[in-house]
Amino acid sequence: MDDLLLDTSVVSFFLPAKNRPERTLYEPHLEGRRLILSFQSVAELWLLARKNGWENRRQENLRKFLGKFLVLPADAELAEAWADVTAASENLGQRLETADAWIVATAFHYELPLVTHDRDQLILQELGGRVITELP
Amino acid sequence: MAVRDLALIADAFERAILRAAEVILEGRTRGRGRKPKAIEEQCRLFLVGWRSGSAVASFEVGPRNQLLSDVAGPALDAVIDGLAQSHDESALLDRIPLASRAALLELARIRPLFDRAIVQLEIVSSDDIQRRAVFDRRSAAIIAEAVRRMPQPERLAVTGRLDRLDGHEGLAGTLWDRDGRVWTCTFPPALEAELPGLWRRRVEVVGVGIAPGPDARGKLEVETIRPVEGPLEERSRRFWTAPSLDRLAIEQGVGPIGTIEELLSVWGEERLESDPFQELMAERARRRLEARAARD
Repeated sequence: MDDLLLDTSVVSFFLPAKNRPERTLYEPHLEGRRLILSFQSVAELWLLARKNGWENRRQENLRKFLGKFLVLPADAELAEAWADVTAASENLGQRLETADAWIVATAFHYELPLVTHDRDQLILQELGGRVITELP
Repeated sequence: MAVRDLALIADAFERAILRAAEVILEGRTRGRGRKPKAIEEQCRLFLVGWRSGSAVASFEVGPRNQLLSDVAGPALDAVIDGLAQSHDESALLDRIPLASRAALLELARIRPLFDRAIVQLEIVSSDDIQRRAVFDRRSAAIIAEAVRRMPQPERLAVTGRLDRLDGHEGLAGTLWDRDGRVWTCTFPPALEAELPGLWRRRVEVVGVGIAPGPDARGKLEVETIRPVEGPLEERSRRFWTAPSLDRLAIEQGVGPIGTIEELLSVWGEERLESDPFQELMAERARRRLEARAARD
């Protein structure tokens, strides 16, 4: 079974917004795969909902939507991976911001390919991880 | 010696052996079906010899039953061990195993015999003549007093934190319950493999024991043990020993998605006015800027 860790940037294409062309680019990567999110992505999606004042029904739909993903929580080993990733990115002269580092560390720790549309997270490749992106 | 007295003694010992056997088997046969008739048959006493003078009566227990491991032997040992400690009341109250305690409860009934013709009873194991105990007026009085004061074993379920395990002196452990009482637990060999994984965790133990008295210390011979953790304790434990990815997927009920429509179906006809991708990237840019400014 192929597991994929989706960054929030890619997941956001599958919220019910006006169609973004990027969605169709990522669809073939996702079909038939087990889709995984970091707890940090769940937090970022809820922040979108809160800041836009989503009504209860829409929030309930977000809960159902998140239920389609395997969500990885923080734990002791991931905390160490976060420290490794943050320190390594600093050594590369591109220190990851705290929240970004949780997502990159999750991919790094679980050895999952990270599907992202955020240029800052491409650093995972330099740390030895695998990235799937349709960024130009 | 009156036949009636001999019958009373034999009956009391037979009951004592049977009670000890029942306590021993309580844990061993739980969940696998009880065999009360087989236990009774094995613990029945048969008079096989008699010598007059300082009357020596020889008894044998019933034959071994194919359905049941040897229980009469350990039960007889429990009777002799109990009697051997019967000169020390504090030992009877605190340290005596439950099987011996159950046996002494039965033997206490023959105390009146020592007020008549009998001076003392000496019980000797024919398998091992070193295993012997004397039962006399003095020890009968101590047993009677101890029986009066000793709390009775009962079936108990206790929830608490399994704090200490000691594999050197049998399988023993200490459990702290929510009221701060300390339970000394003994575990059957069948639970040996489970115990290390339950150390320092909140568990429920079920067994036969003595509830704590004023000293807040109880005893329990454990039959079953299972983890029972509250949400906070569970979360705390999982932080340090995280489950595997596949285990999490089972717990969350998540598998691979078939088609993209499966993912999008939850939204129905909903359409957002805003662009979540743009909003997300704006939020991330703000955070990154703040982090950079804080570092600089």
